[in-house]
Amino acid sequence: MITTVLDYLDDISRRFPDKVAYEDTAVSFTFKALTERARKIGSEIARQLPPQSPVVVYMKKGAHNIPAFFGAAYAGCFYVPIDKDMPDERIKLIVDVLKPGAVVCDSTTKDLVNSNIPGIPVIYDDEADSFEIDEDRLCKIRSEVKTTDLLYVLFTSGSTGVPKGVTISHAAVIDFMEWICDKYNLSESTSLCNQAPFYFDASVPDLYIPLKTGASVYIPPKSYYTFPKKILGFIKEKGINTLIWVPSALCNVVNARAFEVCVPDTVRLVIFCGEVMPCRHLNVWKKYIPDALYVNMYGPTEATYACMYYDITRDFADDEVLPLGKACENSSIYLITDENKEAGPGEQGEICIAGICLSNGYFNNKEKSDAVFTQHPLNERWFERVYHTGDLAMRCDNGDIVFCGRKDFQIKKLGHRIELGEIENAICSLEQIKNACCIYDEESTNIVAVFSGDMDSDELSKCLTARLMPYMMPSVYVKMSAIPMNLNGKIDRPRIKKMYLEGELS
Amino acid sequence: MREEILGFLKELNPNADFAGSSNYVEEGLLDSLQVLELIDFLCDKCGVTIEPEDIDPDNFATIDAIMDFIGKKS
Repeated sequence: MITTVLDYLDDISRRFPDKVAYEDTAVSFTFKALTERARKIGSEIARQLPPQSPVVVYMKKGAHNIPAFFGAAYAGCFYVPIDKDMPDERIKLIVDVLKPGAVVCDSTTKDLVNSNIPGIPVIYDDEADSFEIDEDRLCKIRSEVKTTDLLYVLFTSGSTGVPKGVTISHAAVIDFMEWICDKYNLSESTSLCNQAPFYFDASVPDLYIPLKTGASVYIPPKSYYTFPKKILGFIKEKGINTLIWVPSALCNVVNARAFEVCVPDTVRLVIFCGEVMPCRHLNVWKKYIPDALYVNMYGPTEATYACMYYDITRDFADDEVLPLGKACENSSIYLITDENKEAGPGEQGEICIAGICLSNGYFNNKEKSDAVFTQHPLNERWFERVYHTGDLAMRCDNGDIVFCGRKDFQIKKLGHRIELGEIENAICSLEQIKNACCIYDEESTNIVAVFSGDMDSDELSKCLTARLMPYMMPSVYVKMSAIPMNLNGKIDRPRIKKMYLEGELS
Repeated sequence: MREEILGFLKELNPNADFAGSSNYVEEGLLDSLQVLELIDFLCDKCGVTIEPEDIDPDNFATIDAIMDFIGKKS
């Protein structure tokens, strides 16, 4: 019986002991070495902490983070990744919510641990080789763990500024792995190029596909993504065939015209998730690597990476929007209207998700959990949980679901319901535009378009007149040298809005 | 020119200590979007043409590297 992800790991390290599991430019772990190191770290954690305790993994990003994650799992605990580059203030907020039992750190973070989490028991990763495996203790812990126990907690930014810890169980990850590996024929010949940081849910497939299939994951230095020709060269050199990246990383490759230097024609599968992928950039990828399958996925961290998928098997024009597609196997999607009814064809509703993929709620935050994890509004007969995403969508005639924007990005102006995302899409589809973000100033009822690129405000306004209804036209334009991004590489809307309201943008 | 570029870097990432950095790229002072902004700026201000091949960490590691690079391109 597969109860935890460790059952995957035990099985795969018997089948492929000497195959590379995770490799960065400094260190490489085979499945056998990974398992042994994870059991050593797990034994050390278990000596210090009871099962079900939070274990912070606070290291420089690299392959050596991964045995520490699974070490926490061997100890019956759950891991919480914190990155060396995370701002101190955010770490303090996370620690306040989490009250971690121990931290696994390395030489780059030892001093940061002392200043940011003083007094916490420390397990020093650099000494892991000398830890002894406590077979009896690991066995006893293993016999007591359940599939609903937590595997990890990832912190996302909350609207109030206090980060929310999304709890994810072994069952949720197993549920997703069973589907994605089967659906896309992932196997031991799959090789991945990790892009997302480990504290971000977009890295979950990279972390767990090897455990289920024997695939290998290569972890390039972050700076390779800053200079996309380097990352394409790396993909080609390693013969990587699968990319699971966020759209902005794919867009960077196009913006830097890196395909003119190198075309990694080994790539056969490109999956993206986490934000809207502009078709203009997708079409450049398809032009250079036409033989790959491109998949648009949708899912909040609260539903374990993805709960909807769309295989891109037809051509899309540059200004078209990719559908979200349909529910992944073993998950259900309901579009619920403000009246708590299921939306009819062509009618907008909030995306609500049901299935094993769901989070067990926000760590130590009952109020926020209760607000979004509720009884299924259409089921009055038994207990069934749904997660309310805050995203709006509608179902097309062919059954595909299409994204209509965030519930809180939808504004009403002069009686019109306006989707700020639709305006952003119109701006971003212009070739001279690098990036754009729309905000709404409720007080002045101004729609503010903030953009970067080779265009001035008048030209942009002229171009938009041909593309947008008059009531959707922005009334203020702000050109910036670069659009501010948050730690996860997404547009930092709250910061942009604050800058605008405080007069920093005019 | 040097001062203008330094000024622009400061504008791109006001929180970064460009003066105290020995390698902007390895120390993460510039992200991919900021590098592209910088390239646009260099194209405009110095009249150089920057090819995709030139978008290389070695050319953007420090202000000296940037100055050398545009010297070679112009």
